[in-house]
Amino acid sequence: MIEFKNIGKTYPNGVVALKNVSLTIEPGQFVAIIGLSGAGKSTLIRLVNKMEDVTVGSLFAEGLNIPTLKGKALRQYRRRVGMVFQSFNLINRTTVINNVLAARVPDMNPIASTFGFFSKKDKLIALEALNKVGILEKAYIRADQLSGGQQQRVALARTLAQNPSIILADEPVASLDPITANQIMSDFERINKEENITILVNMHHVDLALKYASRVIGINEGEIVYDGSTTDITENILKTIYGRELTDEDIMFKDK
Amino acid sequence: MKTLCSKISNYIKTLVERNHNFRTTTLKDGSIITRPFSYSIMTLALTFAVIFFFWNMIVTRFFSEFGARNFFQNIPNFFTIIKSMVVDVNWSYFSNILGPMADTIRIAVIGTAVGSLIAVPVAILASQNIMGKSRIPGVVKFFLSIIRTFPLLVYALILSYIFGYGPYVGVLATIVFTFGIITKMMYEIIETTDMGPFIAIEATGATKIQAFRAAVVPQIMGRFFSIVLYIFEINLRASAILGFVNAGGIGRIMNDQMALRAYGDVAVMVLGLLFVIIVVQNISQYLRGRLS
Repeated sequence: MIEFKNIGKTYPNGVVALKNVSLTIEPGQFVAIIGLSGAGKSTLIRLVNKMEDVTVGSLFAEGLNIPTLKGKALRQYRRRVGMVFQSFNLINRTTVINNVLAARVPDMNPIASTFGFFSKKDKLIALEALNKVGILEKAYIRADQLSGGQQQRVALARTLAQNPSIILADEPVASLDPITANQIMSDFERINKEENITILVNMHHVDLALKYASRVIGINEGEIVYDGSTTDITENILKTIYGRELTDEDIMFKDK
Repeated sequence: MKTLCSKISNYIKTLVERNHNFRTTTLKDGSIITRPFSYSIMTLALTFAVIFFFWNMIVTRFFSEFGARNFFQNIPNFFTIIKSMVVDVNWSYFSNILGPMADTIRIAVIGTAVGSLIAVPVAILASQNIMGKSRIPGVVKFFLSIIRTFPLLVYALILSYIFGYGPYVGVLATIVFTFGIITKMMYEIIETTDMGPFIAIEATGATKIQAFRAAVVPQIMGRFFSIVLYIFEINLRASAILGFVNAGGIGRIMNDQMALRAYGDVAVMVLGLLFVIIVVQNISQYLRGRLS
């Protein structure tokens, strides 16, 4: 369970990213966060694994008081929280399997990780993770030779290899074409259902969010303006999230 | 100096702004786009001014103090030495250069290897992007810039006063010199690597060291070895003259034989050195080509 209580976040340069945000996310939920660029979506997600610090309010996750976590405790907590980025953030100059194995590094003994010796068990975990996202056959290819969609799958496999209970995804499909974006989202959906992993995903594509997520949180200028099931969303609610009505042109992939 | 520069640039700016029409393009529909003031012409002018300044100084001193006539009169001396090197080349001296030559190569190899190994952790400490907001990189960079102040020969001289004579002084000097250069080159490479993977691995709960090993090392490995090989080439050439300050190697006997005007022996040493350097350069170039 992730619990935001009256959270506010102000960046050192004075930008107010979040104002008085309160939320409870139950284990196993698939939550999509939508809103305009700069509305505070990324900040909200980055607070969860303490990539950003809370300014005011309290944040609990996995029974831990997140803002107080430091050093080893923080690293142990981060083992259980996976993160997927818009730009994939793969290590381009090495193979796919080495990228996935990088997620095993924190659990390894320091000497083995320094010289890059991975155990059979770790290799098997990495290969299983690649299999779950359907790119097992690319395991020994260099990461920079893959397409964008395949790279994002490697990133997803890397996250799975750390066996997380929460996955945070910061615009995972924003730099992908519509068809690949759909495939990646369905990967997320399958992982959410099969592994019962809580998923928080930032999105620009309203239709993808409505199609795959079970809950939608709408943010406008740092405040939550909608929080509820995907089925209850109406044109009016989207209007409050985005500040104006969405036209057909705004919806990138029509489903029907 | 800085205020003067900014005064001049401001003056030029106002001049340009007053009649900036030639920098402004108006399109058919009335849209206006203005090209911003560029500093490139000023930089070029400044560079020429600096070159002219030094050139003027050196040329003037050359003619007044050193004496151009003296210079041209002494040129034939060069050919005298070359001639005696060619005519009197003493092949029997060859066996005498093997030991010192091996010393020279050893100095370069050990000095480069140890110096670059020590350089790695310090280069990490000097990289602002890895160390976060810490002040350590600034301090480390400051000390590194002090270390880089002295050339190899000066280190050899200082160390020979402290530790006496012999090849190990050359090794120590080479270590310090290599360390200074490689840390500088490495932290510049580390600071310009793509930090995305590092952040991603850190987000999996890895420590900074683990994330560095997993995400940054694969990106910089090739360039690191390429730099080490290049510095090895430089060190080999430099360690040939380390002997001139009694720090061991071929330079020691070269210094002796030159003082005795035994140019025939010197010729053998020069040829031997030439051969070793060409071989090492070619191997290193081949390896560096493979690495990139």
